[in-house]
Amino acid sequence: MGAWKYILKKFFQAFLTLLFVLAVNFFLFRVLPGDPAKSVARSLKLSLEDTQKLRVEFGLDQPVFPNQFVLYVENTVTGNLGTSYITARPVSEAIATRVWWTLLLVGTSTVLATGLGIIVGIKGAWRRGGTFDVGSLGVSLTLYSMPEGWLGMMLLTFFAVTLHVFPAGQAQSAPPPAGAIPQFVDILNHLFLPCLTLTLGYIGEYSIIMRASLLETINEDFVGTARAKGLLDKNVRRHHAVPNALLPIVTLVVLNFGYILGGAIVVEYVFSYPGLGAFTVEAINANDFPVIQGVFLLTSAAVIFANFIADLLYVYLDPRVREV
Amino acid sequence: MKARSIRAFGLLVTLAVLSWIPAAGSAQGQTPAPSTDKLIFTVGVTQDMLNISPFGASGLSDRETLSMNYDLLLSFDQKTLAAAPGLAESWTHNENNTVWTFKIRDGVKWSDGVPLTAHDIAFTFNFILKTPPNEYIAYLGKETEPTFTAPDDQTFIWKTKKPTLAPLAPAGVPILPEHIWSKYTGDWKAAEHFRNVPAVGTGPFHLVEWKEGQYWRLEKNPDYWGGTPTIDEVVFRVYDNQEAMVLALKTGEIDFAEGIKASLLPTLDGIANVTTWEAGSTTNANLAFGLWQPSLGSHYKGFGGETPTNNPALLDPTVRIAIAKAIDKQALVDNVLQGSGSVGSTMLSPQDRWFWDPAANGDTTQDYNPQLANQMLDQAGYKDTNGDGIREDPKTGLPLTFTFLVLTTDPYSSDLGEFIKSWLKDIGMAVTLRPVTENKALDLWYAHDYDGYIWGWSGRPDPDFMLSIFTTDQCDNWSDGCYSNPEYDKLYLEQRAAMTEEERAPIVDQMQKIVYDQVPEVFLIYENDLQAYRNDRFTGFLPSPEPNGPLIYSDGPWSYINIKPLATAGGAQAPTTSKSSGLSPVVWIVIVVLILAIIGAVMLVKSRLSDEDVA
Repeated sequence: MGAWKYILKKFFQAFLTLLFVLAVNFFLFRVLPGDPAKSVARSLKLSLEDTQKLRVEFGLDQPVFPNQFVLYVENTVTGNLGTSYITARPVSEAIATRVWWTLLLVGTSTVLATGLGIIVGIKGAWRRGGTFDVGSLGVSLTLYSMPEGWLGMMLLTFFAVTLHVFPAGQAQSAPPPAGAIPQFVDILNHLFLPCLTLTLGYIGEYSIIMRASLLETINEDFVGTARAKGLLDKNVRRHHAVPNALLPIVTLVVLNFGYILGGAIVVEYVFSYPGLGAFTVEAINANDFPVIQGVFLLTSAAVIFANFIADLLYVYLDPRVREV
Repeated sequence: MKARSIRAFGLLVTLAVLSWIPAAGSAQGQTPAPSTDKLIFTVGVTQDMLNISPFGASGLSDRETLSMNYDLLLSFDQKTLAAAPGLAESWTHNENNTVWTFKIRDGVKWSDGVPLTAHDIAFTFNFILKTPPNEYIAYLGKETEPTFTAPDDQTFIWKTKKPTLAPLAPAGVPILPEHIWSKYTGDWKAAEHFRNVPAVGTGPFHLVEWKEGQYWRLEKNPDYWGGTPTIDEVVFRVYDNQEAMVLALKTGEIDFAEGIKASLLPTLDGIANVTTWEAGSTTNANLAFGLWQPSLGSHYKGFGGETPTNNPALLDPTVRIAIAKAIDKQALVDNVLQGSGSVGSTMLSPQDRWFWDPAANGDTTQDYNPQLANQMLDQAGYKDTNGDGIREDPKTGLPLTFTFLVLTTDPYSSDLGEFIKSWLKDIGMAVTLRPVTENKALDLWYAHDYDGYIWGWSGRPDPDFMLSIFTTDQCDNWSDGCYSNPEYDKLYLEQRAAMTEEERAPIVDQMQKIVYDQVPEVFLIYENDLQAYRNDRFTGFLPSPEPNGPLIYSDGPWSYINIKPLATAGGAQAPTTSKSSGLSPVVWIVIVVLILAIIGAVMLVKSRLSDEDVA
């Protein structure tokens, strides 16, 4: 029963946070200076009266509170994230075409970086001070401190131009090849370099934290007890030390999944990968309120949801939580 | 012993397969199988389309696609941008220029097979009149009260109550199919939201596919009245940054790169199969002065526009002329544009057939001459009375200190500002540069809360719009600084009412001269449009206007219609191959199998080892 109460409590917390985010999201962008109707009017070279008509169409002539806000809440709840001021297309459509590429790129990199990072971190911590440990720590720190953009450009120039082995950016060929398998391979080929860049960038983070966490756990009493009982070294590691050391990693990984939707802006930019990252930056520059609001709402919701999942996982992983 | 032999075996397999991968990979990169036999011309751009409805927000890429997909009533001449036959093969007008009669081509079809008639043309022009707001109204000359009719399928009549030359501009109105667009008449919002992919038009190409953020694709119109294009498809690929686009040009993934920044041009020098093209364009950068006075009134009450904050010294032409003389425009071209541009003078660019050249006409008002500037200011009484290096205005006693806005969203604005600031210091003026975003700048502009700003314009082929921005009427709309000159306003109406282009030309010249001499705005530089293309793929690019206009992203689709593949040793196949690279499916499968094999071998070895390990 304790577990269910805990879950319910966490769910309500998540829900309230989401509502708060909704309100803040709206007012935050209204505080920014700038009138989107005027910048659209300038590019179309509209007359004065037509500019006024635009403002009415955008709903900018109404008071921010309560009219614009109420309209916003109503629309969001029914799944209507509005239409872009710049392209006049529904925001949900613009986000939908891009979010999958971001998920693909950042999701794959995160999975690879997490898996490899954890393995490297465990191996390093278990034989602390050994050649592998010292070597991998050095490499991890170097990779972690490298600017992603620079690393991306280097890989792009080397593999795409010098060796001509991979394409120079983009997510797929234009137009894409016919057939499911060739299309899949085409996407894979285009995904390789940006994914490699991001993975190398993230690996350092996970291996360092896993290593630190495991080192701490090794010094706990229960590990000494396990050894004293005569268990094989690998079993002490696998069944006693690592599961306890994994808890901080779980939090880190799940939180990072939430941030995935923010997109890897720099890497997407370098490789012209059509994800949410660069798109959001353009929208911010153009003061395209509906798009910015939509993306920020999505990212906040993803983080809140990921947090909630982490809380649920803890119920499973850490028995101490259930007793509360 | 067993463990060691397993490891040795694994190592051998690894080495064998690894040595095969580079061979397979590089072979893949050079001879991929083209998926079709089509001739595809691929253009790299940094701006995606925004909205391909002609009534949506129109960026440069939207306009380019519209110019390929649709025809105009009268086209632009490729060499001069004057009016040339379009969908109308000939035209006449009455003595008063109030009735223009056009004979429409026979046998033209829309891309969906429906025949084009004069009714579509009348429909399009009426649609624009009835469906504001849109940018095409400006071409119609609303104040002449035009009416548009089509008495039969091959005749279109443009009738006005007052004389007009508007059809000859020519009017850049894309002709739309009545059977598609009639349901949106009067409803601008619906017209703007209409996706228009695939787009039905009569042009040499039609838009068939658009993947936002990635690419869009046009297929050729094999029955085009202006000549069948040789290439089958044009694909525009969107790049987020120019470095990647230039790399793609080098690897051959694109055939043409549009809109390269000046600093990247040197990286393309000396590459045998790439040709660069620096095209003159109508884009300029200017320093505009805030010239608003309360007598002009304000359209935006409540924005604080009633209390001007612009320094009144700028209302004196002597001060403005002195500022212009203190600016070394050539140095700006050399340092900010890296030589890729030309010195600014009037509001029209040297590309423009209506351009009036001050230098050729002996007008030295804005020639670089800081000593003369200092002299003029001394003689007019602007002296530095308190020794702080800044002159004071004799009328008000206020120092000549100015705040100029620089746009953070413009690539050159702040660089230009820094140079100007240091030059104006030499003639006794103190300038503060205030960086703002475009949106903030617009707010300050509507509130008349600035002394000047550094921004820019992109012109249109017809000079009417650029001339209009200096009229009193355009204050708080398109006027940069609310310059007001009754003589200029009169001339503006005169050139609109001119009966022939020959009559109009001297008036347009005079207007440019007034702006050049009175300096409501200093036109600093004209930017070049930098393009580059693979010279081993296609040939036959046509600059418009001649001699050094852009090859594409100009005012018409001439290059796309005209280009042909270069004959190579491999035959006409050459342009379509090597556009994609990457490992073939076989190589990927081998890599995956290899990784699994290695993991399996390692785990096998380890479990055997630890079995032997005694706890």
